[in-house]
Amino acid sequence: MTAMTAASLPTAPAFVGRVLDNVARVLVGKNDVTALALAGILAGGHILLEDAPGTGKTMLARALAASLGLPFARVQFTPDLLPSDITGVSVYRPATGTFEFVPGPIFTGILLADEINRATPKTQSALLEAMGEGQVTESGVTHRLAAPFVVIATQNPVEHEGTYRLPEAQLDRFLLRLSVGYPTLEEEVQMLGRLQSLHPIHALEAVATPADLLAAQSAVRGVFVAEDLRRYISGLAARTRQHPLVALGGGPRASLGLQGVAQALAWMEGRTFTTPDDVQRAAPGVLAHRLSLRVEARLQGTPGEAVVADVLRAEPVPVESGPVEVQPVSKLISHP
Amino acid sequence: MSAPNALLDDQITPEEAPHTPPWQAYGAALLPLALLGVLPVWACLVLCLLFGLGVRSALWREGRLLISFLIVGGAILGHLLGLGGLSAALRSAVLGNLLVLYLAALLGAAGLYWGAALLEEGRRRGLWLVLAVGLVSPQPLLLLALAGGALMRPGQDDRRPGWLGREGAGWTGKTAAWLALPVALALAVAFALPQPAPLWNTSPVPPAQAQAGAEVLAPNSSSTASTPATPQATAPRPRPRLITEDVIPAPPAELLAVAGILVVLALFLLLRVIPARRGRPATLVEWLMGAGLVLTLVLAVVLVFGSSTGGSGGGLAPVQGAAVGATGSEVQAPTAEERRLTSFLNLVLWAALLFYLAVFALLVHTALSLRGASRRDAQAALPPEPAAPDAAALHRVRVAYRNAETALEGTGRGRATHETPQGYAARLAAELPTLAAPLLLLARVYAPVRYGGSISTADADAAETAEQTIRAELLTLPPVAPTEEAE
Repeated sequence: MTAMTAASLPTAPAFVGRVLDNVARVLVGKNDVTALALAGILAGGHILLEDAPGTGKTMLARALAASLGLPFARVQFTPDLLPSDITGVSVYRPATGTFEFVPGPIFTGILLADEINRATPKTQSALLEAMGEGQVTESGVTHRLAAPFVVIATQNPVEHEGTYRLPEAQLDRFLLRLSVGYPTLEEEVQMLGRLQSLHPIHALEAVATPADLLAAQSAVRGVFVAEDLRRYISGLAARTRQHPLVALGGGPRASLGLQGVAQALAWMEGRTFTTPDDVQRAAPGVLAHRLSLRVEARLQGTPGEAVVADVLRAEPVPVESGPVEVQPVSKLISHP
Repeated sequence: MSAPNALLDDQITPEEAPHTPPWQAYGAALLPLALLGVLPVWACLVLCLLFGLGVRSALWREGRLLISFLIVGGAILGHLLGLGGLSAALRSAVLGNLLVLYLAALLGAAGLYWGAALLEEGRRRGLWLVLAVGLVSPQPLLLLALAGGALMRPGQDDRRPGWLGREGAGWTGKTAAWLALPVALALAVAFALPQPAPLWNTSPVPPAQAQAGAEVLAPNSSSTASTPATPQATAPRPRPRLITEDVIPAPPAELLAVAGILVVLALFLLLRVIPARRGRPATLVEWLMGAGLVLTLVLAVVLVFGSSTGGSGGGLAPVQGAAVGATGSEVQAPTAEERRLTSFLNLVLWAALLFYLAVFALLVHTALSLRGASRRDAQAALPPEPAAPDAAALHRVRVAYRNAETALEGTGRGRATHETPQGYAARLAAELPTLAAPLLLLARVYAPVRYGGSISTADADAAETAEQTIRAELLTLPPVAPTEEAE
């Protein structure tokens, strides 16, 4: 294992490259979605993977956990799952006459909430406090979760029977909603060759440590965001609230998430400053799932991503502010 | 068994918060009575309080060991301060005895800590440890300590203990037999074996000097301090002799002292770093634990150093050349057993020296690592320093970009308001491959200028060159109608 130390953090692209290459051993041709998921983790957020069955959602989560060297726990969400099955439960210890808290699977580094929409809203909401505040309260006692803590949830958007739509508050806790997508023909052929014998996930080694990830998260928060880029981010969020097809747009948490993911994307490219390209790249994943669309949009089948694209087209990018003396072309020709 | 490792904890976890234990658990507060033969009464009572606090709070429970060391050290320290009036030879002999006593008390405290932890986990063998500690200097209150230990141990089936007549599956006749055995043994040892006086009151002083040193050497109560030494206490005992021939040489005492001082300094360094790293000041328990550790090391250095410098500065036995025996008798040649013992003790001193140096290295390494990590965290948490802007270079790049964009706009290839400079350059590069290189270069240099990065004068030069190339190339291209993107 070649773990990156905090001292070597400036070589962010190397760190990112190692993780992406490692995940690519398992997931063929999905570097973009992997990079966005990694950006979400670096920004300290939680990821919702939404796609059809068999596209590699669970594999992406497992590969990321293995690559980052984080403790991993998986919970298969089912309708009979109880909140205490996730958070833990207090058990009476007659020896001491006290209740002892037995931590649930949520006390881990990366929690894979597989098929999260199969659990009841009550159980889904058990994750709210943990995802929002990094803690679990049980019987009036608050237990801190160890950092880093990441929830990667998967859900299948095509099946509706026996599923419960995630509440808006729950969706808002997910920093990014990503879709893995089907591989191309060539990628699928390559994948078949790789997975012919042993699945590479079993041999996947960590290329970073939790300490590396914490240091990287800290460095990401230090990436510079210009004032008018902040206005651009706020403008995007505001436009989602004003869009005619949107009943409930992105809130301040959406703006914060957009800024965080943009910072992470900039850091991953080795930059110390954020550009509008980072914001635009992050916007669909950060904003689309937070939009509560009006009935007419649902009837038309307009996805949230289309609304975000609309918003991105409407909001001017801050490029040049203030007058800059411009020489006429003719003057340039006379003085080549 | 929980280890005393709370120094680096970020915060008091809910498990450490005070809770209400059953009253039987306070039997732990009786355990230190086993040390009454070794320690003065006040020290035992403070230890009882400490063990009682540990029942209520996990933080105090973790601090039991090191705070016990602090209390034991405090008891010894009182005696050290009263040795000023003694002669060098007598002082070194007393220090040698105090060292033995101190080691016994430290081991006893550690044994009680371990025994309490075992008993709190419900393991009966903790009683044996308490018994072993009490047998160092048996006295009747050892029985009370054992009773406290038996009371605090929860039953095996995790029900409340059936001690004091209550029924409980874990407290059967077999259990009672197990309890009776150590109690009977303690009784036998406490009353049957000859014990002239508690070890604490034992004086190493020869009869001629015992009177002068009596007040100094009887520290555990005011009554003993003012009473002349008992015949047993002042009975002549052989003085230690310095044996230097045919034995393993002892390490220089000065080296031991320096190593001990280094360890203490490293500890202070660590105590300064830990609160800064953790972001909150140390709690009272942690300060007491730190003080216990420091005092233990200081006393160890002082006692070892003091007991070995009564003579020529080498060896544990202090009297130079054994010129005069305890009773003024003739000097006898050291026996083979004495030589072996001396070699062994000197080896122990060498091991202690190596231990000090290892502890010193470990503490310094830990302190420096923590300090380095704190600095890295602090630096990482800060936003990056904006690079010193070369205003002229920045302005040149902005002008170059604006010129190029205006020129492109003039030919119907303007930038759409929602396009980023990079996106715009990429789109045009796809449309105009001949301009791809200067367009992408200009956009690349412009991004840090506009969004908070830094550039060099060479970048500005390159941007201007790219702008000129674009504008010159545009003259050769036919104008186009503005695209939908640009509109």
